[in-house]
Amino acid sequence: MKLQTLTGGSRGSRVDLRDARGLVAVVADRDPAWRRYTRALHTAFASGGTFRGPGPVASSPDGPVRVGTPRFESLLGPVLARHGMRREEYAAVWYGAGPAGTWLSAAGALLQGAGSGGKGGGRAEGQGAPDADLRALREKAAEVATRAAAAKVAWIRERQDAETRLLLHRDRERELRRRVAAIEKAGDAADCSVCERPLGEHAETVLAARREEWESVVQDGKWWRRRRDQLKRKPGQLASLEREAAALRARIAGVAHEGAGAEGGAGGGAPGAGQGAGVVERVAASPREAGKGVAASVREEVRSRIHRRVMTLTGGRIAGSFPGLYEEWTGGGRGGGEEITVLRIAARIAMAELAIQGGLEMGAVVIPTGLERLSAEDLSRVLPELAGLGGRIGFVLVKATPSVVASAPECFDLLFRIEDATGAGRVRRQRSGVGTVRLQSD
Amino acid sequence: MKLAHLSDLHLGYGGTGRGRGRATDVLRVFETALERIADFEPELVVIAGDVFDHPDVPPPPIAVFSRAAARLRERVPGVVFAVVAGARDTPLDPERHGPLAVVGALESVEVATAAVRRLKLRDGEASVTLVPHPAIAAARPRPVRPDPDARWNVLVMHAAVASAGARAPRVRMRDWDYIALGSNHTRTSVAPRAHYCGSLERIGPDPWGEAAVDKGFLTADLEAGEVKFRPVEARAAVSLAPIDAAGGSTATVARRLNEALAGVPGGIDGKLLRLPVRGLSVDDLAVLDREVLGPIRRRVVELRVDALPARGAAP
Repeated sequence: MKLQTLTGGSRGSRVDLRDARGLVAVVADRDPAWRRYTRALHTAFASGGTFRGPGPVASSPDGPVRVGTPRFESLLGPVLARHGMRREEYAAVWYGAGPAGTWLSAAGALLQGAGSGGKGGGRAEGQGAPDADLRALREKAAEVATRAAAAKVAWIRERQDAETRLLLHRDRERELRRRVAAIEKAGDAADCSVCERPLGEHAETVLAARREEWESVVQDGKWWRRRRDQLKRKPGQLASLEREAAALRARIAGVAHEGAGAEGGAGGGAPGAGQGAGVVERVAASPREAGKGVAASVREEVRSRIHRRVMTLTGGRIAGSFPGLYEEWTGGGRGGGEEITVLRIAARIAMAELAIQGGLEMGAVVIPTGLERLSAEDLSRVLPELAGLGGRIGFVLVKATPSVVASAPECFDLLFRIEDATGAGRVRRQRSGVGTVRLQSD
Repeated sequence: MKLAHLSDLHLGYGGTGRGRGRATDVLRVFETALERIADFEPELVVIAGDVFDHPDVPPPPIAVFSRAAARLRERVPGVVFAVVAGARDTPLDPERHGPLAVVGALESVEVATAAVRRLKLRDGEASVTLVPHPAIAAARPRPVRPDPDARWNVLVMHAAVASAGARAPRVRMRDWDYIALGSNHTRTSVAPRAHYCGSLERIGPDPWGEAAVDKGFLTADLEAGEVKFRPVEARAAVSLAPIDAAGGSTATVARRLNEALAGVPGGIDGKLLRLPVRGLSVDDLAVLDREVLGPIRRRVVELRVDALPARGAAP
C-alpha cells in the first residue's frame, strides 16, 4: 500500500508523502527522527488492527487509511490472500521489516506468484482441494507472468535500441549533410575535419567518400525507422501472454476470495490477521526457518536474483566473495559493513522487482539500510538503481545523510530535511533533481 | 561573436573503479579542452553546469580550474567565462557556499549560483543570460526573456528538456541566438540553435553507454551561424558482447572470455571494460572472479562484470 504520511509518534514531526514519486529521502546527519518514523510504522502495522493514536497513513482506493486500524486490516487481508503472503512477508517487502529469513521467504512467495502453501508452519492446514487448485493456478500464473515479463523486457530493449540507432543515424546524416555542403561550397579551401588544414587536392576524394557515406547512412536510417515503427506495436506473443496472465490472476483472485471467505466463516477474524502471531513466534524462534521452508529451487532463484543485483550495484567487485557473504547474511549475520549493506540493498531491490512483476500493490517501498555506509563508487551505482525502481513502483523512501544526497542530487526527486534531528525533528520539504524546461519552436 | 560551450565537467569526480585514474582523467581532459578552445579564440566560454562533481570538492580541482582559466586568459585576452551552477555544484543547504563561489571570484569568471543573472558583453551588443540549477528547479521558476537591446542573445542553462505537454517553464527558441544546455552527458542537438555539448569524459555509473560516442565540446560562430563539435580524447570504453556460459564450465567461459579479449582492437589495457557473462551460476562466477578476473582488473582502469540470466530465463 502506498504510504501517505509518516509520523514520529504523538509529538513527533510528520512527513507528507502525498505527492511523492521517484526517489525520496529523509535527510539527516543522525537518525533519531527516522527511527521514530520507522518504529511508528512497524508498531502500527504489527498491531494487526488494534493500533490507537496518530500513526502512519496509507492510501487506498477509498481514500486515506491509518495503518494498523481495522479498516486497514480489511484492505490488507484480501491482498495477502491474493498473493499468498503472510503479513510479516508483506512488511518485509513494504518497509524491510524482519530478519533475512523473512525477506527470503517473502521473495520466495512473490517468485512463486504467492504460494506459501507449501512452506508449512504459518499456514492453516487441511484446506484440501481448493488449496491444491490454488497452488496449481499460482504455479501456472507465475510461469506465465515470468514469460510475459521476459518478453516485455525483450520488446522494450529492442524498441529502445531501434530508437537509439535511429537517432544516431539522424545525427550522423545531419553531420554528413553539413559536411558535404561545406566542401561543395568551399572546394579545395574546405578544412579537414580532423587536422583543420585545407583539404586542397584531396577535396574531391573526401567529398565522394562523404557522399557515399551519407547515402549509406540514409538507407540504414530508413531501415531503422521502419524497424522503430514496427516495434511501436506490442508483439502478438507478448499481448497473448499478458492476456493469459490477467485471466489467471482473475481466476486466482476468485478462488482465493472463496477460500478466504470459507476460512473467515470457520475461524472468524480478518483474512491474514489471524495468521500473524504464530508466524512471528516461528520467525523469532529461528530466523532461518522461514528461508528453509522455501523450496530449494525457489531459494536458488532468489539467491541468483539478489546476486545479479549485487553485481550491478558493485560493478562485479564482490563476485568472488558473494557466496560467503550471502551465507553470513542468511545465517543471521547483522554486520554493518559496506558489503553486507550493499547485499541488503540488492535484496530489497530484488524483492521490490518481484512485487512489481507479481502485481503486488505497494505504491512505495521503504529502504531503511544505511546508504552512508557505501563507498562513493557503489553509491554512484546504487542511487540511479533506486531512482529507477522508484519510477516503476511509485516511490522509494530512503534515509540519507546530506553527503549522500550531494553525491548525486539528480537521482532524488524530493527531500525531507530534518533540521533538528535530536529534538522534535522540524521537517523542511525540498525539491531535488534536475529542473526541466520546454523549448518552443514558435 | 564566437563562443565555446562546455558542460558537465565533474571536476573532482572520483571514478567508480578501485583505481583513482578517473579523477585525473576529468582534470586532464578539461585542461586539454581549454587549450583547444584557445586556438578558436572565442570571446566567451560558457559552462552549463556541473563544473564540480559535488559541492564539497577538495582544493585540487578548484586549483586546476583556476590555472587552466588563467592560461586561457593569457592566450585569449579579454575572454569571459560565463558559468551556471548545476545540481552537483549546488549545496543542499542554500545558506552554504559551494565551490563555484570560489571560482566566481577569479578574474573574468562570471558565475550564477542561485538566481538568474545577465551579463553584457561588447558594450551591450551581446547579452548572456545565466540560469543556474536552483532557478529552474524552484517550485515556481520565473520566465526567462532575452535582452531586447542586444544584437546577440545567449542563454546558458543547466536543465533537462521536457517533452511537449509537460508542466515546465517555456523558452522560445527564436528569442535566442544560442542556447547552451547542460545536464545531459551525451552530445545532443535539440534544435539548430539549442545544444547539449555533453560531458568531456565518459563518467557516471555507465560510461559504456557512451562507448561509441565522441566526447568533446562545441564552438559557435553566431555571425556565421556555425556550430561545430570539437572532440577531445576521453578514456576509451569497451563493452564486450555477453560471454555465454551455456553448456560450459568456468574453464569454457574463461576460454571464451580470453578469445573475446584478444579480439578487442588496441587491447584492453588502460580502458574501461564491461564484461557481461550470461548463464553462469553464482558459485561458478565466484570461481571465475578469483581465478580469471583478477589479472584483467589490474590491466584496465575500471572493470564491470554483469551477471545475466541464461537465455530464456526470467530477467
